[in-house]
Amino acid sequence: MKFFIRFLLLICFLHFLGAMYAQSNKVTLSGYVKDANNGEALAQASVVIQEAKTGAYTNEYGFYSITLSPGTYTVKVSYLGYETLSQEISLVLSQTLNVELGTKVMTSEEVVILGESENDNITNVEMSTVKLDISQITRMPQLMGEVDIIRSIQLLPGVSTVGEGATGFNVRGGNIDQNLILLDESPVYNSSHLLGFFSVFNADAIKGLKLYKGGIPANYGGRLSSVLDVRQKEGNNKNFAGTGGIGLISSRLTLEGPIVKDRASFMVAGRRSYMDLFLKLSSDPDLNSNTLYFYDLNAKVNYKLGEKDQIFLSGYTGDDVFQFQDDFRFRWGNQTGTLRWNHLFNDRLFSNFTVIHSNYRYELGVPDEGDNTDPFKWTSRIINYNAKADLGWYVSPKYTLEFGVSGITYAFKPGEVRFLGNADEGDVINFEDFVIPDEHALESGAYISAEHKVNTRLSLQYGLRYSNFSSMGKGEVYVYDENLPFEEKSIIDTLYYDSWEKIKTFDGWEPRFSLNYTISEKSAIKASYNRLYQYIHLVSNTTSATPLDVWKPSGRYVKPARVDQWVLGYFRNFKNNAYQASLELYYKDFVDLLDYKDGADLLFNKTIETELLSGEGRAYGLELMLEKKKGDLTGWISYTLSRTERKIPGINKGEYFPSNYDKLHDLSIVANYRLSKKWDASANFAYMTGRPVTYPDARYVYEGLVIPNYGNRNGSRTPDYHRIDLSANYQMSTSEQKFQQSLSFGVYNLYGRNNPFSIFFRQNADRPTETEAVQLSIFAAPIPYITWNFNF
Amino acid sequence: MMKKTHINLLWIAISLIATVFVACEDVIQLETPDSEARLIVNGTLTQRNEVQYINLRYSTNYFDTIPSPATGVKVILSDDKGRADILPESPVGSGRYRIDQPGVIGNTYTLEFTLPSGKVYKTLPEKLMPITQVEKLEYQFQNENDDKERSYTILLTANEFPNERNYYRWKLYVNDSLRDEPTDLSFASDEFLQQDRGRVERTVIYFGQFEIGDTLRVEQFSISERYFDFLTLVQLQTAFVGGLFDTAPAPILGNVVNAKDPSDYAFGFFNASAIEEGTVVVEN
Repeated sequence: MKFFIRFLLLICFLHFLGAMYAQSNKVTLSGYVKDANNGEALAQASVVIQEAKTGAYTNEYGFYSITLSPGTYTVKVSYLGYETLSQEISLVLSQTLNVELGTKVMTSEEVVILGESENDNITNVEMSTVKLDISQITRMPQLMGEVDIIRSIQLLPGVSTVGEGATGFNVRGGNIDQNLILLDESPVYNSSHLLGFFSVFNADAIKGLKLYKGGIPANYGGRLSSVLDVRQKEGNNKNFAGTGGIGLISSRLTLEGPIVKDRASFMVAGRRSYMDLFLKLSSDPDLNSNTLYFYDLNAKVNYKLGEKDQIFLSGYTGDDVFQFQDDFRFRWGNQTGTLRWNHLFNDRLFSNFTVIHSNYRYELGVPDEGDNTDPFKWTSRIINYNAKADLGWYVSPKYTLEFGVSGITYAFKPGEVRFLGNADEGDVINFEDFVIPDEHALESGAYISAEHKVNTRLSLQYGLRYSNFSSMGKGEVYVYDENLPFEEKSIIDTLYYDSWEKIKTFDGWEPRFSLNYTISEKSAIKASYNRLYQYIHLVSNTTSATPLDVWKPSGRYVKPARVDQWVLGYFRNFKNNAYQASLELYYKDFVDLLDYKDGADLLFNKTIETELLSGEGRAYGLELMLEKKKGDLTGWISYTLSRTERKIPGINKGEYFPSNYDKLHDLSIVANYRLSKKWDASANFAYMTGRPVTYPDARYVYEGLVIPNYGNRNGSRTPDYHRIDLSANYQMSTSEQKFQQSLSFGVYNLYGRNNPFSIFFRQNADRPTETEAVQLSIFAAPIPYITWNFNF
Repeated sequence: MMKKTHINLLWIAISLIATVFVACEDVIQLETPDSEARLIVNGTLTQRNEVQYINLRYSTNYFDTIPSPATGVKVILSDDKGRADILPESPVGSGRYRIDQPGVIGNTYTLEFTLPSGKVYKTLPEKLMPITQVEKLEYQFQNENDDKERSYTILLTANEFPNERNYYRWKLYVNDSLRDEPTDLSFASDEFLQQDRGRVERTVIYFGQFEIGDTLRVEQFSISERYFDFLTLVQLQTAFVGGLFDTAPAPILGNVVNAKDPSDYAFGFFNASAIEEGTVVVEN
């Protein structure tokens, strides 16, 4: 609490300081950059003052602020995919200039320069980041036509997956739990539907996304390897509009529009799959009596209170529901809610205050129906409350300061099992209800970060984050006899903690640093370093994580993990920025990564700490990316050469061994070609080295069972992976029509390659003494799709 | 019992989701690493008054099917009451070692193996725990598939030792033929039972396909915690494979360890168990 009071005092001081500074002989040009068609804020739009050879980028909320001497300037505002706007402005006093970019000419004084592309990638200090536009993703071929941002980012350098159909993604040798996935700033614990086949993000409700793989700025913390920042649309504040479609897997509808024109707007989006309807068509009773679907609901409203204040309220809820006849039920999903207040203390001090709630939960069980024996219901939840304040102080065009604080409370409820039935009515209840004790934690952080343009060639971003994590009561902690093996039987005492009573506290300083040395308008050298701590860990020892996996906070027996990452990059544009190329080298050093004892038992385990091991890891690689941004043909080629290894005492004799997601080569080609005003066609190609698997080095027969002996973890590899996807999009309407329709169709895995998901070993069904190796492939055939889309 | 049931159900659920997609399995040819032959121990000592055997063989590479018997091993069975029998190989050259005297409930047993190479392996102690009777076996029809195969669950009613941790195993014989596929493994702990009740009624111990007229005989074993852990790993690595959520493969440590080098161990297990059994005939 003290921490927050101090912080408030700091804000007051800054407020005062800002006012003081404003009295000097400088003036400030500030405002918002928005999309002219729907009023959505444009983040990272560039605002350049040509005569002063200076400029700024808009922040996540579309705000910019530039302080300079009075004078007459040409202001150029540009954003990729939008027309650049150039306007002469006479600055005598500080002034607000709100800009709306689009196809529309705003006033007669303005000159619109068409099609000039940008070299942000050269001048920006950021590296190892990727921004993807939703319109770009929707044109790419998609599995069963479901526009999937998680699957799409896997085509970028440094991003991979353990196998198609697996949940989550791996960034530069990081496990899936090392990605901070944010939906409107709220953490999402499970980004998958159907156990990993589709992502929870309904593309129609999403404005854009940005992935940080390295050089992670100080305002982010809590995960080691990446930040995936997904923003929902704010809602069209000009006109009522809708988007939707019908596909093979799901149908979707998004509605948005002004509540009060230019002041308040809303967006609401829904999506539901109907795979269970297809199941019902099957004649197989094992299939047609099952229920299987998922849905998503996104909603957002925003209200502009005045020139200086805007509030946003957004929420998401989604579920997967699965019912296997009457025998078994399974359901899991995320819920998030974000309340955000943007406030301008003055024209150079921007602030964002956010309150977030998120809830991940699953339930499974045998319903108390029919003649089911031992019916039960098992639930598990993770509940978060998060409050944070982020401020941006635009000191001068050369110097921007960002700082803030954040506090997150966690409540982990790993498992609670209730047995159903009524003993008084004669139901037999064999089992006792039980609960794996809750765990609570508080994570707080404070950061300060500066972006400093030292001269026209050199710009720096340097920052420091302090993070603090306490595992807290209410809860219980077992004490083990140190002289005995670390197992349940060695428990000698249980310590009980009251609510908010600290069990164990960790903290750490996390320096962040990025450098850009611009050689010319066409090329730059960049470098970055970041240190991050991760205090909560996903406990999973399966090939692909399941929705049942529990998250374990650091505490008495689990240490926080830490990573140091160094990156060096060279960026070069060609042909008037139509082609953008980059080369990045990275090295990551991990400490205190969690791993599991051979054959660990992680479900329903009250003493899960006894199943865990910890060790170190390293990941290094080279990423190449060539992107074509302009013209009828657009797309990219990306190649990653990398290694990811772990060293865990107790596994493979304590020597380095490859991680599950280690892939030496990873090549992706994404291309879109505009054939005409009505037609465009796209193709993806992906190739990667097979992933590590464990082959048995011996077999033995025990009581008639042939048991493989797996001596060397991840000592072998699956065959290589490759596939091609094709798609075409047909615009059915002319651009004058209000109601726009289009068709997308394509095929995933064009040549039907049986790409390996895993290789496993079993006894032959007919000759049980013989053993065989079996390759499991998930999408082992060309999978066509067609989707009808509309918008108005 | 319950924990295993959950995992089974989850397994079925996940497989079903996979079949909705175009999942496919191909038997492939590949080379597995070589390894040195290791001793394999198969042996259960029970309280039943009958001749029992310990089977010893050597392991092979994964795709080699014919293991050689471990002959000429000096096998000593001892208990905590002073018994120490040298078990004769019977017949000589078979790798089969005969136990002439049954185990006694409450005694703790160990085996020692001296290989012709001079290496000595010892088992960790196994206590022969008591077992309750199978009070009632029932079956419950589940469904019939397109091939007219009928699925059933087998339900057990039995008393249980209250207020202590016990471990059980069941073996199913259909018309006196043991079901010994990986998916037939069935074992449980009483960890989640209502402890002071000392009883389970109609709890599921098997899921399988039977025909009308089949005689189902279930042997109920008392087992040690160590054996329970061993069977758990065996099940994870033989029955629950081939899905999206396989547990990471890992070597399975039994209870037979080199007397001088704890990092060297033999495959398999020697367990001491008491057995009771029950029978039911599947009727229409």
